[in-house]
Amino acid sequence: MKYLTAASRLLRHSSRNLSNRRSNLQLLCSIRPSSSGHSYTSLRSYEKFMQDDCFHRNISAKNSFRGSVVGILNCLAKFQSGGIRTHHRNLASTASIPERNKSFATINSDDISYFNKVLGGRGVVQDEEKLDDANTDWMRKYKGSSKLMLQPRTTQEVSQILDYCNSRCLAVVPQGGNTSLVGGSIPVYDEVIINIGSMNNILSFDKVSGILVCEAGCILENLMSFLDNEGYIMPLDLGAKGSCQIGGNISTNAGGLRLLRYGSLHGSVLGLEVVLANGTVLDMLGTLRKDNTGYDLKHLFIGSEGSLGIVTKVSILTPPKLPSVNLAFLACEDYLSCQKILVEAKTKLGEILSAFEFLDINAMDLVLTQLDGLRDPLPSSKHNFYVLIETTGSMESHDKEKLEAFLAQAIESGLLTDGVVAQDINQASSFWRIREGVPEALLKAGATYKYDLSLPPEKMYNLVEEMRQRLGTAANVVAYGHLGDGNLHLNISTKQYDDNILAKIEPFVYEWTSKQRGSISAEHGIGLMKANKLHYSNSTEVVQVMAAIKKVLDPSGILNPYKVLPTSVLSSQS
Amino acid sequence: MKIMVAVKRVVDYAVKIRSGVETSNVKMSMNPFCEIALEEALRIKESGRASEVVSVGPAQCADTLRTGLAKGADRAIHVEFPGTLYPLSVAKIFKALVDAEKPGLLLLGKQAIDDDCNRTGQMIAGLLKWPQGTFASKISVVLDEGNKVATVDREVDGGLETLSLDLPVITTDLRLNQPRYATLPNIMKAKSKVIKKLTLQDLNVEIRSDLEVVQVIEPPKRQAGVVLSSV
Repeated sequence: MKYLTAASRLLRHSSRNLSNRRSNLQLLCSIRPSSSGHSYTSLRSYEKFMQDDCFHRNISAKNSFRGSVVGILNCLAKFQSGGIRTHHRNLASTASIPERNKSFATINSDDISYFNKVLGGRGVVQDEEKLDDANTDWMRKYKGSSKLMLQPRTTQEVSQILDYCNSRCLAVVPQGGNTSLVGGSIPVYDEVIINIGSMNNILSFDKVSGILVCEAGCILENLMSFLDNEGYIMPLDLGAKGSCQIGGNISTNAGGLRLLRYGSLHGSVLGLEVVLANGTVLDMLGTLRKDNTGYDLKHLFIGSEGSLGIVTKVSILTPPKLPSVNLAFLACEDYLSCQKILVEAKTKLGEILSAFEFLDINAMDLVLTQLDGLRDPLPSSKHNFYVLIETTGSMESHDKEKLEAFLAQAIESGLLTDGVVAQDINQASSFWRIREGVPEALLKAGATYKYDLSLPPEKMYNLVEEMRQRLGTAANVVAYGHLGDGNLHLNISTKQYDDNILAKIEPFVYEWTSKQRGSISAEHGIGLMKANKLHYSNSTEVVQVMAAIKKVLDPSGILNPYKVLPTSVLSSQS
Repeated sequence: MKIMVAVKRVVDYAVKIRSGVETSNVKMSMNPFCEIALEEALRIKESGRASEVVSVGPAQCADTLRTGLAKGADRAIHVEFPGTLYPLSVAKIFKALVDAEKPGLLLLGKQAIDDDCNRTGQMIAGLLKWPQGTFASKISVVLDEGNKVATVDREVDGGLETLSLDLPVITTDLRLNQPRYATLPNIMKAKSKVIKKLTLQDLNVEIRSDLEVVQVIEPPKRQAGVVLSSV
């Protein structure tokens, strides 16, 4: 990553900080200029220091911007002589980004002509505008500097590309809809972007078993429309469905709104076709419900975020579309009631429960102010917590009866203070739009520090309250998520990225989660953002075995480098 | 003053219909224009008198009527008839109901989204010999002692036409209002409200089916375009 780009971006965001030149210098200090001339090892030990709690280094405020560049080099030089600890600051909550791996080659004209030959010219993109989009993530937090994007149309082409890149030691980034929330789908430096979006054919659909076979570049919403016509639905649903592709969903083991009912992708994916780093095509595209013949390798690729192989084809089991869908938008006084309602819903609604989401009052306010065309379903008063309960079943009358009995009892026992039941599909869509619109609203409100945690449901909201205490009026702490799965989306919204705020959030959030034996990434994945945070949720031995597997499947490390696994663990493998 | 609102149960507006319009397993809801009519009635009630909801149709209409009650209607009347009814038959039934209930104002949606007839309101007005204000996008009702008048803004081809009518039959158009949600406490209360059931014999109405559906077909699929090299 170019440090100048990053620096100018921060300066644009925090013009107030310009006057506080000390903070500017601190910023520049943490960015590793790629042409620093320092050897990789010294920076690695610098990295190691980053893991500890560091304290400020007083840099003279008299330095101008240019002078501060000199200041960095001075600072690093002094560091090399040992013992000076610099404040570990993250640019927009990116962890210390590893230096560009020197063993990776850079693109030359021979490479371009080879790709042109393989893809026939149409799939080779060097246009600056298109690359600009492909280099930037959805949250506008990270930006790579790739000079080349390839758009293969067949598995054969993917195989040829990877074989070539492997032999040339060119790093690659597999990219789908580019909706990653952890910087997993964009290059860090100049990795070649392999965009699977052109492989978007539906290959077959069995109307009896509901097994769908399609290419990895199919957009989730398109698959949903196709299946809708056949009387089936996809087993997952998420807010990004209009852009995200099924290959990416599988590579990140996406969760979403319906995991409560249909389980995770590890259960619904029946087969995959994957291309390994050296171009080998692994055909595991079975369509069998049961197949216990050896090690079930496809599970390695589900959730490995493109670091072990590129998914090219998918075979997935789809549930039938059931006609009776009911949606209730409910209000509760406190978090304890939300939990009790969850238990009640599971027992009283039983098999028809298909989604259980929650939002707190800050999330609700944010959505209503930032997005157009939405109205509060319960305008009569402000409530502290909102819960969305969806039921899906085969018989309207049976489901309505169950739902109404459950709701009547919940109101009588005081668990609910108010609620609405959607009377038609339009109302239901508007309720979902409220819950699904929170990430978009956060994006519009400014800068977001986004955390996706799995925590024991009883403790979940304690973290939110502690964060509110820690941050006070400095930031808006917004909480929402898949309460039914114990998954909290904790978002801290500020006008612009500010390191003082970040220091109050990290590593506190990760340590808190670790203490509860929770997960620092419930469904978003590791990507770039949390690559050196794995130890918070995994033991050293576990991470070492992960690195060993990576070494077997991708010895040169060209697939999605700098992501998922911490660089320190990977280099100790070689 | 009593306000009577007619509601129809139709296939939900947002459902994608496949050929042949199968209604067996498809989500049914209140016709959107009827929702708007009901909302207007509730708003007038919140500054006027009682309002009631009446629907005509087969047994499952009870759901739609419950929704109406949950939104705030005081009473519901369900006229049972197990087949398809066309506007003239519906109009005759409503004439009988109006004669029995004597409401001061009758509100309906301008058309139903399943048959798009846009006739029922006008026919009722004709049978009752009442004034009619159709495609209303704004209604204001004055209920003074000697002066019971409704001012209706109608959406017409040339723009908006404002009429002043002695309490009429009004059919509602899209821009009139945005229907409210049925909140839980009201849904619970609605369970105890009574839906009066009536049959055609009770109303002394005879239905003659003078329309026969010959064929229902899907429009032809859109053909792919042709890209020309030059024009």
